[in-house]
Amino acid sequence: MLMVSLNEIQVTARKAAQGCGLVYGLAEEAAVAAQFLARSGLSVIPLLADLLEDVEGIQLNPLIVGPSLGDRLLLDPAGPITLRGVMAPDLLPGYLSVLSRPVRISWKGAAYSMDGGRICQRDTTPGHREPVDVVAEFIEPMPPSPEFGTAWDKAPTHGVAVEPEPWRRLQQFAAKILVPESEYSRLHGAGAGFIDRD
Amino acid sequence: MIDLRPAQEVMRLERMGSFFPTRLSFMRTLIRRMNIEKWAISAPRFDLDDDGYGVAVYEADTGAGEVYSLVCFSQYLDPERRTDRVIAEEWDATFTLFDGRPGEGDIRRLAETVPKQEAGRLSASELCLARANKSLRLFEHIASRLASGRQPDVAAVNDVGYLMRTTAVYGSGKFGMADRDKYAERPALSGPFTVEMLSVYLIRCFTLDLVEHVARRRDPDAFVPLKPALKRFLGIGNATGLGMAPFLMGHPILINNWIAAREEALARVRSLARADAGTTARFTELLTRTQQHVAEWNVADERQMTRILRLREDLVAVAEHALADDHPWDALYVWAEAALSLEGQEIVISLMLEPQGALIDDLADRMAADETAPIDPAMTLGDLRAAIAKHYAWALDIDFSNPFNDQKIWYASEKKNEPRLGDRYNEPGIEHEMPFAIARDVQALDGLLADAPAEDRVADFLETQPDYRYILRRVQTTARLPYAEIRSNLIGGDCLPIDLLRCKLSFFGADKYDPRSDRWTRITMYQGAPLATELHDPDADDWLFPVMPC
Repeated sequence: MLMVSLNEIQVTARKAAQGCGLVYGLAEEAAVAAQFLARSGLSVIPLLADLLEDVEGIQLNPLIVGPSLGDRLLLDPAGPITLRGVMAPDLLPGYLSVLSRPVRISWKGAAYSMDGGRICQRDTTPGHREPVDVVAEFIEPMPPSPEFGTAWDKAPTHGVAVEPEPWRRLQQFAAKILVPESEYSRLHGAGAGFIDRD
Repeated sequence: MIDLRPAQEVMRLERMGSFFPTRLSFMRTLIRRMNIEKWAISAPRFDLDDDGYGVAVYEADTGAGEVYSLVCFSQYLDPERRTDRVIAEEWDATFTLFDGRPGEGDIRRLAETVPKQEAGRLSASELCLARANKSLRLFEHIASRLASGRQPDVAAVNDVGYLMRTTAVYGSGKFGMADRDKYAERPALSGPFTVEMLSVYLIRCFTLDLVEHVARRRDPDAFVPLKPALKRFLGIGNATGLGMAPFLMGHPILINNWIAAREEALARVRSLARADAGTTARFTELLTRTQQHVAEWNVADERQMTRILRLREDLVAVAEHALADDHPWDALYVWAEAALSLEGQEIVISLMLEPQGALIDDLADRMAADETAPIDPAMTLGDLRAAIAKHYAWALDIDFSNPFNDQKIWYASEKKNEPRLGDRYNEPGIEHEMPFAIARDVQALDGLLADAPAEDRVADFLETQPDYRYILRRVQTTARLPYAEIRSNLIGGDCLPIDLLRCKLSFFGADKYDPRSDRWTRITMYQGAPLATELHDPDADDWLFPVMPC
């Protein structure tokens, strides 16, 4: 495992999402979601790398529908919200950290409960890669979780362990937004050309 | 209370590019804290050879149970590999700020990685990573003079102003270092860029000891130490380029808080009905010093030198202008707005704020930011469009059918991610543009909204138009926090990135801006600041616009 900071997760995730074709706004929110899940102690890097591998091929990709789900819940709907046929929904709780109200997001065999923008309970084995119907609804207040709370507090002081292979894939995606070096850009793009040897 | 200056006036690039440091700038705030809390600076390790190469550790003890250690690695640098660009791979000295006191194992680990800078990996024990190159000219001049029992030439010290210049100072979780959340709640480090400013202050301590060490080893018998007044006049140089632009654009809430604090300070001072004799005398004393400071500020860049010449005339006019009895500071500012250049107006603000610590220093605590900004999905499209009309009129007025108005394109280079500015129409292959085309994107959003029902909500709109989340969030943020947005076209053919750099550097507290092109500048940090041994002195906070020692 490789230790990285939360900032590195957020920046790499954003650039990787941009590199794979997501517009800046969606990439930015994907990065916040990934950072949130990583800080909560969940393994998000492999999931994100797989989703980015085929952004256009995945219908109802959480990278696209996640932000709108957060918006809808911020409007305090009276009843549950259902999204049909979402692929790899384990990324979706990352988009719900904007909510202070207690909320539960679930699909067949899996559920995340959140309160105050933190994960309180998870009843799932991650790894759903087939499309599922997702339900998000408000619930009664939840007690904080010692497990997720410890992970949350520890991440900024110790860093987060990530799997090297998917992390490398994310870095490769992120590199796609970089412009190849040319002599012209080296000399003019940053306004140098001045020899700073004094 | 006098109103804050409107954002459409303050947030124009040409004004932001005229800012000067104030007593709210981050270096000033840090030195004040060190003074008030009686921090102790020491060098528990200084293992350097005759040429000044080796390892040193500088320790800042806050006296409240916290210790921060700057670990310094000094090495020989091949002249052919010397460059200030971010693309450099070797430096005269490299540094990290360690959280606590490093053990031998830590030093060994850091020696393997810190000299590699971006190519190395750090841990959550490290808070900051930096590197610096010597000013060979001045370093050698001072070392040889001290080694022969003489003090350096004061004019030579003023010409350069520093022994080393940093070429990058990284924090906030980069390269595996600690995230800001690790220390953001510690009062000593809670302000913006405090770990970076602390690192640079300790680097200054190191450079002053380094030059004396090298001189002493050359001739221990003839050696004389550098006079404290000259030491105090040596800051740390910095070469800063386009990297600051993505930061300013990527942190709108933080930028708002910086500007809002400064504007609130100005409004408080302008609202004072009378000026007491002590404050007036202090203002006059500072004005005289500032005239001298600006007289000593000379640069090769024609645009900036022209501005400096005008600034010198402005300061003469300020000195000749009598303060009014009623609301004297407001009257002074109103007069300055009409009579002085933008730099003249902004330097008057720095001078007006300086004697008013008791009135405004609390604002320094408001300059950090919680940067989470959820989109407000309940806002109606009518209200959103009204916000665009109110805050982005400048953007709607730009004619993007004229290629000059989107001629520039911001991108990141494959070489160390260095941000660069290209020509959209003459440089093919730039596929990923940085999101700085705010005016163009706002126009596109406004065009779509024109055909959408005004009573619809933002959530409805974004469900079918997710591509607009970024610009819509910016509009909503700016509607709440008007200083969040720079109100100039950053992709226009006439955009001068140097103005962005100057704004951020002024908040750091840097001065002696020395532009080397329209996109990078040298500056001086901590020039005139108290030495480590002077931090507890009663006048330790008095170093705005320092002047050459006699």
